[in-house]
Amino acid sequence: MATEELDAIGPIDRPAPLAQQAYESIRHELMSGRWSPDERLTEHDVARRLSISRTPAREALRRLVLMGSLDSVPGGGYAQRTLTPRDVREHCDLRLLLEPEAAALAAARARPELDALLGTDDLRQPAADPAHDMRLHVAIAEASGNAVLAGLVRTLNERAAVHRLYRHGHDSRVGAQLEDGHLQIVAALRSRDPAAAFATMSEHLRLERELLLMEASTA
Amino acid sequence: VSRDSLADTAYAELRSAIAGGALAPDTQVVEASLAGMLNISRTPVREALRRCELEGYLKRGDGGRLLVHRPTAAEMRDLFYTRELLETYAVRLAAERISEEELVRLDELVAADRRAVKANAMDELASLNEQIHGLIVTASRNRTLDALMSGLPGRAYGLHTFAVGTNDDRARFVAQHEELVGLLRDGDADSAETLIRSHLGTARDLLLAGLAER
Repeated sequence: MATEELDAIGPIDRPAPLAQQAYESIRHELMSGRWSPDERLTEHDVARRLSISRTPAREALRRLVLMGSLDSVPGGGYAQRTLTPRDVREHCDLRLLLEPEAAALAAARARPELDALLGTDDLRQPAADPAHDMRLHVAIAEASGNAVLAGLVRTLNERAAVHRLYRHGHDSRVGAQLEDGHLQIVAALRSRDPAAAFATMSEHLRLERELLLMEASTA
Repeated sequence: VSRDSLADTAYAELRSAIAGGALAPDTQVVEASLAGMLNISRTPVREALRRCELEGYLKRGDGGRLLVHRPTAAEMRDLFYTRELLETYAVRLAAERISEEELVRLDELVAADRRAVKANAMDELASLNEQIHGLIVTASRNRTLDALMSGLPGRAYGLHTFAVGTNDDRARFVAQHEELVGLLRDGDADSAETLIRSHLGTARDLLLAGLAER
């Protein structure tokens, strides 16, 4: 029986987690590099590979297009988008616009989310580990208490992860600098100092920006 | 008509019905009746519903029922705080980068804005407002910013400003749009930033007052 017919007799509204799951799964496949960059993805393939139906697959794919991670290809299907140096610059500039504000807000309010974050082992992970880096940045934005702002920061960080932007083969000196940046941001949050949180986050992201632009121009 | 564009239409209709108050907070939204109302099949409607849920216009009630979300004052403040960050950034860039073509298009939109305010055409004002703010973001030449803004959760609530404000408020918004276009033409980034900040602040305060009255 077609899905349409099932719906007509079943409960009218069903929860939407399928599309969210599809989105997360596709994102992970892209992040892990299991889908080669020149592979064309269709709704059908994605649905089959993830064992889901086509509607959530299509929805997830469209969301990734909106995020700028995929392009729709003329004639159907989707391709992973290659970020141009301009994309990278835009991305970094927006993180610089949003994340220092979020860090300052997080420092200004004593919220349980922030205490939880500051108590985690995550802080002792290497900053050069992209998954850890993303978790920390998203957690700080969430501790801002502004869900809209945090959502944008999450989108930008996820997008970076999909494109594996932060896999710069950092030399250990750069890795140490990034890690030091994290420690400074955390210290500012701990002392509930919004100005210092803003400044240390800005400095950290300026360093990231410089590294990424250097890589984008030599790639 | 492709299925994607049907879903886009359904999404736009649904979002404007919610933001404009035609679908009141806590109303249950049912896929089948919405499909009937819009006279399209259920698949695009389902997509539109999911998108509206994702962007926070709908939420799940008991038993997974879809209900129109009742925006809170805190959410409205968060939304406008974030819009202020993004749009002040956008106007600064647009003041440097906007093309002559885009300025001409903005002039046309502002002229339509003036006619709509005289005619008291709320839907038209809301749609023009979205086009004007959208075009300015596009003129910033930051495609990532453009993409973030177009998917900004709760953004459509701003459209409700016209319905809660008075005639004078609406006339003032339109005058500010016109002034903003002039500042972009002059490349005056500082004044454009100040103006959009106060423009958004006024809209936020009207919406917050509207929420308090409900």
